[in-house]
This record gives sequence, C-alpha cells and structure tokens, in this order.
Amino acid sequence: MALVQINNHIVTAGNEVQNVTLTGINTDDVYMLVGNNLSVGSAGGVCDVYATTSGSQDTTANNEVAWLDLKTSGSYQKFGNTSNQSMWRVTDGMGVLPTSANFIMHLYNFNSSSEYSYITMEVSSWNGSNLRGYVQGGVKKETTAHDGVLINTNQSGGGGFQAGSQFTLYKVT
Amino acid sequence: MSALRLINETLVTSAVSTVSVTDVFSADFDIYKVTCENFSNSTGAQNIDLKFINASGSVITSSQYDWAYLRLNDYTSFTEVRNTNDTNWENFWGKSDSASGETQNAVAYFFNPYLSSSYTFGLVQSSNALNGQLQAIKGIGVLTETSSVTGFQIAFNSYASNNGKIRTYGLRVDS
Repeated sequence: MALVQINNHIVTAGNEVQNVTLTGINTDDVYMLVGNNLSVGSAGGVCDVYATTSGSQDTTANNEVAWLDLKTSGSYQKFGNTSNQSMWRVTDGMGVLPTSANFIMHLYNFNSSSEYSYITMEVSSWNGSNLRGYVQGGVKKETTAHDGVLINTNQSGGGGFQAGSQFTLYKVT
Repeated sequence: MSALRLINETLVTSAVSTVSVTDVFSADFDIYKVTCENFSNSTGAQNIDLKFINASGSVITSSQYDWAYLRLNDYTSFTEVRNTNDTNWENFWGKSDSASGETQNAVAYFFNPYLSSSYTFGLVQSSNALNGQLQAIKGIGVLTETSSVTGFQIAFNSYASNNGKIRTYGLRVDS
C-alpha cells in the first residue's frame, strides 16, 4: 500500500479559518483524509466534514451515520442517524491547545457518479477534561461525483481552526 | 514515493519482557503508524501495554495516561474498558497467548508525539486469539503532558514474549 499526497492545508498564525476545502479526488481509488492537531479559539468547537461537488460544499441532506463514542467519562454512547444530515461529525468538543482533535477518515466511491459515497472514521480527541473519539461509518446517499471535502468548524473568524491545525488528503494506491 | 515512510523495524526473536523502540518520533513527521505482529509467549494469556519514551531516553511513568477501548469478544458480549490517570495505556496492543497459532496483531496511529505544544494521542485496532477465543480492540488514548516523546516501550505484562515484529512508519506531509 502506498499513500500519495493530494492536497494539504496547514493553518498559520493570523490566518485562522472556519472552513478548509481540499479537492483533488478524481479517480476511483480509496482516499484518506487526516486531521491532525486541530484546535479552535475556545472550548466547545465543532468539527464537521462535508463532501464537495465541483469544489463547492455539498449541503444536500442525505448523509447517514452510525457511531460509537469511546470516552473516559462514562459508558459509551451508540448513535445512528437516518434523518438525513448533510455532514459527518469529527467532534463537538474541540478546544485550545494542548487540547486537540485528531482523526483518520477513509473515503470510498467519492469519484463515482453511480455509487453512493461512503466513509469510515476514527477520532482521538481531548475536550478539555476527557478523552473522546467517535468510531463511525457513514454514507452519502446520492450518486453524485464528489471531488473533495470541506472541513468546517462552528467558530468563526479568529476563533476558527488555529495555527498548527493540519488537514491532508491522500490517495491510497 | 509513498507518503508512508518506514522508519524502524524491530524484531523480537528471543524472550523479552519489554521492547523499547527509541528515536523514531522526530520533527520530521507529526503522525506515525505502528504495526505489531505475532507476539506470543510460552506460558499463557497476558496483556500487552504501552508507555512512551521521552527525549532523554527515559520511560514516561507519570500518571497521565488516559485510555478507552471497546473490547470485541467472539465468546461473550463486548466490554467497555477505560481508565484515567493511569501509568500506561494498559492492554493497548491487545493480548498474546502461548498456544500454537494464538498471537497478537495490531495497528496504531500516534499523533503529535514529538510536538511539545500538544498532547500525544493514539488510535488502535487489534485482533488476537487466546484461550481458543478471539478478542479485538477498538481504542483511543491520550498522554496528557506536553513533553516531547521520541519513542515507545511495549511491555509484556506477565510473561516474556518470544517473537514478534514492530514496524514504525512516518506519515509524510508536504506543505
């Protein structure tokens, strides 16, 4: 197995952002998205991943997800959503460094216009007081070719993804 | 060239109670993939734990290891295991046993071990056979200190391991 880097974004000081778009998916290979050292301006940050179509955020509400929430603070939560959200969630507990969120997400059939797009994702994050991480699978139930991802946080402006937050898209060959 | 770069391969060929993989985490990479294959021993079922090694070459023994796993068993219901303020990531690599064919196998990712401004995070999946049964782990961990980590130690909890292979890869990012 080899990994070929397709796209990358590293947030630098003074250039905090609410959205990061990584495109370049143009083959039927499996792709891997890695989020590393993700932090925001204040506690409680949400991090979501959307598919993109022709470089634009696909907000069609046809995503489904099932996850297990591993955590040190209590019993693990199981969750399944068939109510057609438009994204997949990395965490709702991002904070400021040394708190961070980290994830590995595999993308399947994103380039296909005849198959649904699927994802698997594993997350390891610290929400300021507890270790948490979703283990999840998801699908976007449309036969649309997707050329990348848009990663969004709910914190805007200078409170968005902070310096050192890093997103990299690889092709698995 | 693949962005996944082999940094180190460590073989276990004789009985050892711990294996230290040193000087593998550096400023060259932020994310690492580690595979462990075929740990086994001559005595019985045992946990295989993880501790990190700092830049001075010392094993980090502070009570700042938090971990949470789901243990998937083929012989009974799945179990939730977790701890905070521990002195290691207990059972991070799964378990090994002594019966023929019963070994341990795992793949893990580590995030930011060398970066002194961030905690060190881990993801792990393992699959092993013991006592004629299957156990697998889906797990996460964090070392809640901002020291620069340069390696890790695998500890065979009760019985020395006779064999096994550990490979450490760096995940290259070109900006």
